Amino acid sequence: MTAAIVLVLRRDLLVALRRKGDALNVLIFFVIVASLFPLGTGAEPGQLRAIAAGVIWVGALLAALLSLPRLFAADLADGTLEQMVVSAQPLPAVVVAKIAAHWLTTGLPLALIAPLLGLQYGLPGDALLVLLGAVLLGTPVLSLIGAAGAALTLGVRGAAVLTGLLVLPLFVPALVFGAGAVTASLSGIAPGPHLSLLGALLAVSLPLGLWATCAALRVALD
Amino acid sequence: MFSNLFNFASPQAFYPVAGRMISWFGWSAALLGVAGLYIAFFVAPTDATQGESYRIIFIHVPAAWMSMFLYLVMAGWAGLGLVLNTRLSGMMASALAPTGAMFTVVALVTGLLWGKPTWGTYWVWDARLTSELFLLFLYLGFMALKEAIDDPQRADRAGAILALVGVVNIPIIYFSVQWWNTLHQGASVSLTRAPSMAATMLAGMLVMALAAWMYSIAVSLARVRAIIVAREQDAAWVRSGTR
Amino acid sequence: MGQERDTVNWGGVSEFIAMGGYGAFVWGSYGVTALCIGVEVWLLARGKANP
Repeated sequence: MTAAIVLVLRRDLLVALRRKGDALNVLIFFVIVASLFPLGTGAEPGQLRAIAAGVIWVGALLAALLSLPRLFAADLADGTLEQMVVSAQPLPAVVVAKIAAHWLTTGLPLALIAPLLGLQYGLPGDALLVLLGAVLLGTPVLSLIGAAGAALTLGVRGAAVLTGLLVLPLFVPALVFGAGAVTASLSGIAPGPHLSLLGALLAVSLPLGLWATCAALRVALD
Repeated sequence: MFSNLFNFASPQAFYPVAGRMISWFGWSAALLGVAGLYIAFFVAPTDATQGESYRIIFIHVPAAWMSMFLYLVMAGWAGLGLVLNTRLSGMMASALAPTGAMFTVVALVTGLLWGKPTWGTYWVWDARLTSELFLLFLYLGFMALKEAIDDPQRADRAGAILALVGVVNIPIIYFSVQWWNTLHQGASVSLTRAPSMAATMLAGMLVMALAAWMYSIAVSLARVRAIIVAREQDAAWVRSGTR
Repeated sequence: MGQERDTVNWGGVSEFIAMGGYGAFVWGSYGVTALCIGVEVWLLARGKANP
């Protein structure tokens, strides 16, 4: 089982490495979205600091959403996915590996670049650290729930928009706790409780997202 | 007894049974509705602080209860369909969703109309209203997913998975929105907790909630019949008109 | 008998409609609800499975 996870993980990372553009575009999209807001709201430092966490988090949600079709669609098109589902390897192992690869190529870069955007918004040092931690903890939740949404809409017409409709409401807790951690630290409250809740959310999303993704893939390829 | 129960799980057997149940539940809903309205307008006294505007809660609160309850029931049918692989379960889940969404819209609109005279503004980012809004999005997502998948069997199973994920998430969303609410603002006026709820007010809300419940059963039975006819239109029993 | 009181709550029809100045909100709420229910029942009576 571990061998299967490593194999699929390595393969997906290799595919991502060959198509660097896909992952890179998501990052650029994230930076553009975050850079648009000051142009819309005005660049008053106090106001920017107040909206920073929310803007960066919503940008991360949208970027994660845009990256979701990449998760299964190409493998469905060339038949790899069907082979993975019918193979002797347990499906949850395959799915764990694919979600991990998705997080490594999307969530992790988003988390690493988020403090840079926070700098744009004039966040102080400790808030930047909290932002990094919150996005690191929150993006796996997005990958897990997002994978379920991508699997449910696999091969369905209008899949991209539909995925957004399905998963964005489910992203709400991650947004609340993630952005809340940064806002709390800005106003001098310890961000610990928010980050703990984010961790708890991850603990719930792991089995839920895995189960839903596996079940949805079986339905889609039935 | 269980074999009897499973007999009704076939759409063909359920169709006439549902037809007989509709009028029963429909009339119960109508009678309870009239009784509830009578209590709401003629028995319940004027509220000391809110005046007559509080009479909106006689639909707002039952609609909000119903919207959440119907999602639970819908997820229950969806889960049953996933486990037992019965066709009727998926149809029941499909039949419940539009009514649940309707009650969510009613709860939201009445919440707006109640908020204006009470808070002076239509929309307040109150934890309950916000959760209700996201509940509406969950209903819409469920319906959109089922609508987008052509194969009914696949649509039922995919919808069931989504409903189950949603039902686990609803309490988490509700908790997170409440957490967010306490963090960001103090406007914690709650819609349901009138300062001193008279017993007649509570009775009115309960009767109206019962009416909404009976109505939901009647309407979803009618819709499940329409779904059965649409899905099984090629089956002999539908075409021969023996239904 | 002179002025007849409808109920405990209301002095007459016009008072009932006015709802203590909140008529638009109260009747708006009940109206929207009635409309939603009416549309749903009407669609189902025509045998529509989906709204």
